[in-house]
Amino acid sequence: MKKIVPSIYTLIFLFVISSCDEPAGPAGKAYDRRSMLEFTAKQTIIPLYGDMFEEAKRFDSTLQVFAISPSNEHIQKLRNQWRALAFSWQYVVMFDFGPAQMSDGSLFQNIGTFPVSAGKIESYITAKDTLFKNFDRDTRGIYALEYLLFKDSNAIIQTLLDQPFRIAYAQALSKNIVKRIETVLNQWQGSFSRTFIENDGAQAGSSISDLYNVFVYHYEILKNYNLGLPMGKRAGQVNIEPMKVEGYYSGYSTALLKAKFEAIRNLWFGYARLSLLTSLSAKGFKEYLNSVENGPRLIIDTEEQWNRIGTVLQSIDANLPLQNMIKSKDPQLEQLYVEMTKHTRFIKSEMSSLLGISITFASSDGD
Amino acid sequence: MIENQMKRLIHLLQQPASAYTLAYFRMGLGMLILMSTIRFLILGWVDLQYIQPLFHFPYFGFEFLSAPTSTMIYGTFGILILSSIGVILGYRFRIMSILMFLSFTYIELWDIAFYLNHYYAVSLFACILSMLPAHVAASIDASAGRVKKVNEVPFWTHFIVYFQIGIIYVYAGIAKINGDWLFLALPLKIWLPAHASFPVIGPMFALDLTAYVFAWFGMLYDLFIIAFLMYPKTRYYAFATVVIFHSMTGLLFQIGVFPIVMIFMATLFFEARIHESILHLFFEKINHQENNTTHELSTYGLSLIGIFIFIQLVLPFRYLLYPGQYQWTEQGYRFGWRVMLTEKSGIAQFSITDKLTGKKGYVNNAEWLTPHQEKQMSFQPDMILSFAHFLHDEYQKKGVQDPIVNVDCWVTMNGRPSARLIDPTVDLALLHDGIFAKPWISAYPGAIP
Repeated sequence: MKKIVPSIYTLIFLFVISSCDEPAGPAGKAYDRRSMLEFTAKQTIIPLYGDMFEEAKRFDSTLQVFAISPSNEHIQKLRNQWRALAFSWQYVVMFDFGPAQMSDGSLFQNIGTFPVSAGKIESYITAKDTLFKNFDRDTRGIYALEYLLFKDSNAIIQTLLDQPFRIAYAQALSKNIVKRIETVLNQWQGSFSRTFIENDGAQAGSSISDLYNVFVYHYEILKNYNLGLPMGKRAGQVNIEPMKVEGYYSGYSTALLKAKFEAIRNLWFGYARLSLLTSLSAKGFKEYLNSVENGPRLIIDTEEQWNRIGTVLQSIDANLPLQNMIKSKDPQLEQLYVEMTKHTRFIKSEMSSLLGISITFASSDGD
Repeated sequence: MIENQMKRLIHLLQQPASAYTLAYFRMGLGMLILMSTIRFLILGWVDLQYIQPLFHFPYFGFEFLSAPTSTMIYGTFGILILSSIGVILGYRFRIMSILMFLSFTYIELWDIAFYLNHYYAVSLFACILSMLPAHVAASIDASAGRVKKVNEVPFWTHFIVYFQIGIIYVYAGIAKINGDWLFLALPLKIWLPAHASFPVIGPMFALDLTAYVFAWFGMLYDLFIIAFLMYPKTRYYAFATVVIFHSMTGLLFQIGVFPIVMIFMATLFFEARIHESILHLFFEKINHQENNTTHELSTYGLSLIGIFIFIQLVLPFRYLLYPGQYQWTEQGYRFGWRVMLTEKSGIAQFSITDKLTGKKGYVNNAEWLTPHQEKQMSFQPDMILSFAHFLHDEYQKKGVQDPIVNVDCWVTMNGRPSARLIDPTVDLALLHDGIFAKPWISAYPGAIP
């Protein structure tokens, strides 16, 4: 035994030494998470927040112009700019961690809550309260603006002129959005990127687990809240609730759903937008999966399912509001919901299993 | 013949052994429980694991113990802390050790989602301790004369502790003798590369070879470490291996205090004089004058030990009574020392159908379950059934008529493609949990080596 134990250690030692110059498996098994995180921060998250910041500022100035001279032409410009803002939001909503976790709730809660409450918005307007020091998150953000800009399609200008505080409320909402996006963007451009990139472990609280958690969480939001809830798919729900779609008043609900799906899918593939891909290589969960045991198999399964969902989505007319399709019980929506549900096993359980990512938000022991 | 052997066995179990080793075990276990309980409180896990969740998964047969009030929760933690201090000091040892065992075990029985092999191990050690004369030396009880101070106890009091440590290792080793573990190095091939950024040796974890070396070494280690710890000539090499092995697993995996528990248990195999000198740091003088052993083993005592040993030997093999592969069905999986053995993850999509209107809707598990609870439930059929019953009652309250509860549950094991765990057409609300085989668990499609 005296000889066995030292020889085991010698073997382990030799093994450690010899492993140094061995190539790291066919697919490069020691995946460089740090470079994936760096790419995600610099080529995806920061540019996308940057885009949204520009759209938010543009919206704010368009609103200024409208406030000074409310005209048909300007309301049209304003609505178009709202559309651009809402679309840019779909690409950043899922990065709801780190700087997006603010002292009064997350960015998603504060500027992305849907559906909004018309009654509560009206009462804040009546009370002339624009402090936003309350937990009525369904009275602010992008979809509160949507309510104010799109609710009365024909009489909108007259309504705004009759109740001047409506414009003041809209301006306050807009300023609030600009300020929050700016805060988040500044932190990403500043020290947070470094924190994010350096936290490159795989345990709960690491950047990769943050990224994975928000990816899965917002996929679930898309499936359950953008689609399932308005469709009446929730247990105990008796009727459909089409007014609960995201983008109800503008009617861009289907287009927004498509954009959010694309944004989430892009995160898996590892790029910000398809248009940016030409000059950059992708670096995301797909590349990471390609380096792990059974990963290539899961990539095939996952891509097939992305395609199945994508095919159904493509066949849906983006200009047809989701609420109308829900009311008419469009079978394509049913199919979309089924395919999206199937996908969770690939992107949620199988991916976390293979990547060894801790699925929980908080830590706990295992054995 | 048998009678003679029994006599020899009883004789062996009556041989004198050090009372200080037992006292050392008492203090060590008390400290480990105290430390881990304080750690648990500091991490805020009492709130997170026991107070916040809206639903707790009961243990079959212990449903009445689940879902305590927050007063009971904090009260139990209070009792556990006080009793573990009592055990360390050897103050009113018998009652304190029983309280420590009961309060620790009671906490474990609140929610099966937090079942861990090492909690079960600690429960068993606390149970054993509460029956041993671990306070006859180096204790307040002995100093105060509440119990007769002695230096020696019969060997059976040591044997039962060694036996329990041995069971844990050897059964963990036996569990590793399967195709996935040894020939595919699964799940280590999945777990290790995630730690490639580990300092210095990290890149090694990315190699397949490392996973195989760890798998085989882990199996051999578990099977034989006890033998090497018992044999004096190899003892200290074996202990060094224990320290390296458990430190390594402790650094790589999120397994809490388990490595410290097992390293401590290994020190029990040291000579009694080492335990004495460690105790000497806490108690001024070790008195060597009185030398009479107490606690002779009666036939009654021997049968109790026999029953305990029999249960420990047989319980992990109960999976043989169930059809299918236990790694997949989870029937007979718990209480079997299957430590860090498989990588499983699943999706359990519950649906509720109103029997009257036929309206079907889907449940968002996160409305009731914490991420940890949901993760654990997603691949364990008995937990899925418990949650299904809870959902039935919840939705009935919400006005769904006679709810039918189905689940579409897909589980991935050791990185294989997901497969259905449960028949999605079965109304779970009509089923009852029990110890018999669950025919509604789908067989794994294909073979698990």
